[in-house]
Amino acid sequence: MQEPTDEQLMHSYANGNAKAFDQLYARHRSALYRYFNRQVNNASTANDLYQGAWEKIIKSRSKYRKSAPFTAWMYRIAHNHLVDYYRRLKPDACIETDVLPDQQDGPAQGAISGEQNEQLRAEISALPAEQRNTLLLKLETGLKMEEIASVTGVSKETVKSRLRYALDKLKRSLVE
Amino acid sequence: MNTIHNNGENDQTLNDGLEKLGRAYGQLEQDQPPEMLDQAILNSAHRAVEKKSGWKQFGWMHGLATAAVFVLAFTVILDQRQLAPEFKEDVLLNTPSRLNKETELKRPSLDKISESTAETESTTEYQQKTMMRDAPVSAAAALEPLSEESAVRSMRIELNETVVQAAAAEKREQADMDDSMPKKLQKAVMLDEADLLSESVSMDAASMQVAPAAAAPAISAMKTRGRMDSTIEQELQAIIELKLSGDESWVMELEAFVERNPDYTLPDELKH
Repeated sequence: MQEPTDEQLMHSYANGNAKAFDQLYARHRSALYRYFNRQVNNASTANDLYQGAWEKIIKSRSKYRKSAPFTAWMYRIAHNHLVDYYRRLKPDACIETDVLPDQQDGPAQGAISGEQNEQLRAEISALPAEQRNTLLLKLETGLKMEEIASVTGVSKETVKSRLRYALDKLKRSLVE
Repeated sequence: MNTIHNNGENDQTLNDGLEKLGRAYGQLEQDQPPEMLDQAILNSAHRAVEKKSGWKQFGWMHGLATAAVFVLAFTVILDQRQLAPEFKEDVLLNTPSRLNKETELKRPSLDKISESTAETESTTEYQQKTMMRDAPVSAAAALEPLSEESAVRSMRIELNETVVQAAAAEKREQADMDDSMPKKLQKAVMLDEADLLSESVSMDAASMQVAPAAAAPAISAMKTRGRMDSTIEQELQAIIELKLSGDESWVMELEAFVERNPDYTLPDELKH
């Protein structure tokens, strides 16, 4: 028997089926938690953000449309929740502007190894918030560029730009 | 063309880099949310839909209960209306226009009483007083919405009419019994009746609200008794005035009075 899709489960939950939410939660709990945990690099804050995001998802269940991809919808809520958190943290924080570098090289072959896991994690945490957010959305959710653009409210090119920046920084850091 | 080619190359490079990074990223320790947090979120999600489904489940019962309350309230109101005294019900149900109509219907009976009881010139005075008493109430009833004050006023009218009718009937009997009553004394009686009307208007409305229908005869009897005493005093006053004016007929009047009221103690002015 075919497993119900995320969209079907969410629709079912919105219609009062609590068990559908259990399934949905089991599918996305780890990825969403890592998304927050690696953004803020603090377990307590990550827990708060994670719980807050799910609460918002629960409250917004009646607004969900079955035609919309559930993952994109869920991460849009999570992203907005995170932005709210940053705004509360630094009300006057400016949004950084990304400039596409002239020449882009991919990460060096073999630059990332199993031994460098901790370093990789630290480097991701050290990325600027917008780049980190975009990179984590890509790595954790597997969303397409267009979907990430929709979630973060920027253009597809800006998403690509942020990803290139992030990859470049990680490559340099890990090589050093 | 060159730019498109470069963009394509850049995208390919980006995708390759992301793929390699993704593999490394996948080897990182897989963080998991705490179990307690899982439980809290799941509970919250369940509560949210259970609350909603609870409302859905009992929605029809809620509507049924509301309808039942309305039916019950309506029944109680109907019962109260049936148990309430008749005239009070009329007051509560009456619109100002209906009050006016009823006042108009009752006026002829008042006029009859006044005609039969007062064939002298004081009839006009009595009618004027009656009109003065009724007119403000009718006008107010026509203009104002049916308020508590107007209801009390309407009850006063009802009770006053009962008192007046009883007083008039008694007066007729008394007049029949003593056709020889002097004109001046008759005038005094008529004046007294007019005073009685004005007195009855100021009766306590609160006592009427308790049991107006039952209280009306008792109040009527009390008024009649009081009126009789008042009439005797009026007669005596008239005799005293005759005496003071030097009219010798006061002696005859006094004798007639003593015959009618042998037990009544005469005032000092009329004692020989």
